Amino acid sequence: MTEELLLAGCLQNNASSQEELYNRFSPRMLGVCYRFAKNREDAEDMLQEGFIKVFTQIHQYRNEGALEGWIRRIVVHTCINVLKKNKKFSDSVDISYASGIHVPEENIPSIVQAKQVVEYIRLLPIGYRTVLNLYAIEGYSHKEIAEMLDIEESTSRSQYTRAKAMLEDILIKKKILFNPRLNSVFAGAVAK
Amino acid sequence: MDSKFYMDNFERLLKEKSDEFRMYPTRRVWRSIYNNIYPGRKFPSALISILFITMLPLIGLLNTKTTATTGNIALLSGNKIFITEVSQSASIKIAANTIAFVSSVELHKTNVRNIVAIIESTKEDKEKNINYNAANQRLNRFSLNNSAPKTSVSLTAKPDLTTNATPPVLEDDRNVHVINNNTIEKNIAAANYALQNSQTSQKWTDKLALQIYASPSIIYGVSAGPQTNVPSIEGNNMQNVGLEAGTAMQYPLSNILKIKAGLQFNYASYDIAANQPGHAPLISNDPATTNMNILARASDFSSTASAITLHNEMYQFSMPVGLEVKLLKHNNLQWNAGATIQPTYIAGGDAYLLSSNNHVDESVLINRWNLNAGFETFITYKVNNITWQLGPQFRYQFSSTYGKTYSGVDEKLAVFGVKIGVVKVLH
Repeated sequence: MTEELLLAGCLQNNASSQEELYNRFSPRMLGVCYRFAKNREDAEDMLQEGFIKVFTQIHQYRNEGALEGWIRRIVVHTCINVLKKNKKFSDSVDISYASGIHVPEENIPSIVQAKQVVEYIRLLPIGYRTVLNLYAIEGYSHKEIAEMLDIEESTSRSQYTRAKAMLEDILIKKKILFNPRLNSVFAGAVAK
Repeated sequence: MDSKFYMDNFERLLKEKSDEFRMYPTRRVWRSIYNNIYPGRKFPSALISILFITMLPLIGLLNTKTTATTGNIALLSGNKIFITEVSQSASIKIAANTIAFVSSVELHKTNVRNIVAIIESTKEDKEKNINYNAANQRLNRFSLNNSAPKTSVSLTAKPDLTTNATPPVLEDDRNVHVINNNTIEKNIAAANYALQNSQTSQKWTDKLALQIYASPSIIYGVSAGPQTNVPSIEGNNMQNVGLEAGTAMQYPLSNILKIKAGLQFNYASYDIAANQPGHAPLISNDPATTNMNILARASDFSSTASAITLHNEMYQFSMPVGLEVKLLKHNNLQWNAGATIQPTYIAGGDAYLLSSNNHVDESVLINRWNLNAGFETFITYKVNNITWQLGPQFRYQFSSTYGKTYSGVDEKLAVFGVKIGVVKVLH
C-alpha cells in the first residue's frame, strides 16, 4: 500500500490502515525512542504514546515533507515530554554520572554495527544523551533544543561538547574510532 | 582542534548508524494504541464475556433445585369430573361445591402419586366470606407414599372452570398443605375431588414470555471540550425527545429472577447549541480530499460570541441483554426492577460535528458502534394471561457519539423515559 493510500485510510479512521502505518514505521520509531529511554519498556511506552498522538493528529499533516519525518518529530517530542516529566536536565547530575562510566578497552578494531552505536549512546548520562540525540542525530539547533528542554542555549552547547567527547572516548576504547588528534578517519571496518 | 571533516564525519556516522537501527515492538503496544483510539470497541466483548461467565454459575445454581411439576388435575363439580392440564399463573373460579386446585406441586425428591391438599384460607377470603372448611371436609382421602415429606407448597391457579354458581375468584399463590397419610386419617375428611399427579416436567419453552414495549423519552447529553490543542468549545447541554420501541424474550431463572434479551429500535432527536466566535471565518472540511477551505462568512450574529442551533437525529438498533428481579408482590400487582447492557449500532441520521469553529455534517465521523446501559423499575398488573407494565427507565451511553480523531468532542447521551410494556407467556 502506498503512503498516500495509507494516509487516506488513516484519515477515514480505518483500523487496518492505521495498523499498516504502525507496522511500517514502528521499528524505526522504537529505535528512536530506545535512544532516549532508560530501557526497552520505557521505549515502548514512549512509542505507544507517540503513535496515539500520530493517529489523533493525523488530520494536521499537511503533506509538507515526508510522512515519516512528521511522525518522527511527534515521536521525538513525545520522548522529550516523558523525560521532562521524570527527569530534570542538570549539568551537575550528568557530570557525576559520567565520571562513573567505565568502558573496557578493546584490542581489535570492530565492525561498527548500528546496535553498538546506539548502545554506546545510551551509556551516556541522560542529559548528555538527550542533547546529543537531538543535535547530532535529529538535527535540531541548540536554540530549539534549549526551548524543548527548558535549558539555556549555552547549557545545550556545553552538554553536547561533553557528550561528544565522552562518546568519542568510548568509541576509541572500543576501537571503533581512532584518536581524532592523530587520525581523522574512522577504524577501517566501518560497515556500509 | 578537531578538523571540520572529522566532526562532520563523526556526526554523520552517528546519524547513519542510528537510522539503520531497528527494534520491533511487542504486540502489547499496538493493542494499547488500538484500545486507546477505539475505547468503545473493547467494552462490548469484555462486558458481555463477564456477563455470560457470571451467568453460567448463577444459572447452574438456580437450576439445582427440584423443578416443579405440573400435572393433570381433576376438578369436580357436582358429580362431574373435569380433567385438564394446568399451567402457572392463571386465575381460577371456584364453584360452590368444587375445590379448585393449582399446578406446580413441588415434591422433594419423591415420586408421589397421590396427595391430599387442604386449601388455606387467607385474610382476604375471610373478608369476602370465603372459606374452604366445607370444601376441605369434602376432600377425598388418598393414600400417600410414606416417603412423601410434609411440605407446604405455593401453587398457581387453573383457569376457566365451568360452574353453575357465581364463584369467587381464587387468587394466585394460594398456600396448600400437602400432608401425609397419618395426618389425613386424623384431620381430613374426604371431599369430592381427585388429584392425579404425574411427573410431567414443564418444557423450557413453556416458560418463555414475549415482551413488547415502547418508551417515549427525553434526551440529555453533555458535550465536553476537546482533548487536543483544538480551541476549546463550550460544553453544551441538549434536551430533546426520543422514542425506544422493541421486543424481548424473557425466561425465568427462579421465582424472582428473569433473564431477558431482545431487539430495540431507538430514535433520538436533539438540538445542539454551539457557540461560534464572532471573528472566526467559516471553514468547510472536505472529507474526500481532506482539504480545509476558508469561506467568506456572513453572520447574522454580533461580534460577540453567539450560539447557533444544530439539529441532530439518530436512528439506532440495539440488543438489550439483562436481568429482571421481582421486588414485591401483592395479588396481581408486582414491583420489579431490571438492568440491561445494550450493544448499539447507529444506522443513520444527521449528525453535526462540532470541531473548532467548523460545523460539518459528516456522518462518517460518528462512532457506528456504541454501548449503552439501561436501568428500569416498573409496576406490573396481571390480567388473565397478559401482564401490563409501566415505569421509568434510564439509559446511558458509555462512549462518545463522535470519533476522537476528528471532533475532539466527547458527547454522551443520557435518556430518561417512561416504559409501557406488555408481557405474555408463550405456550
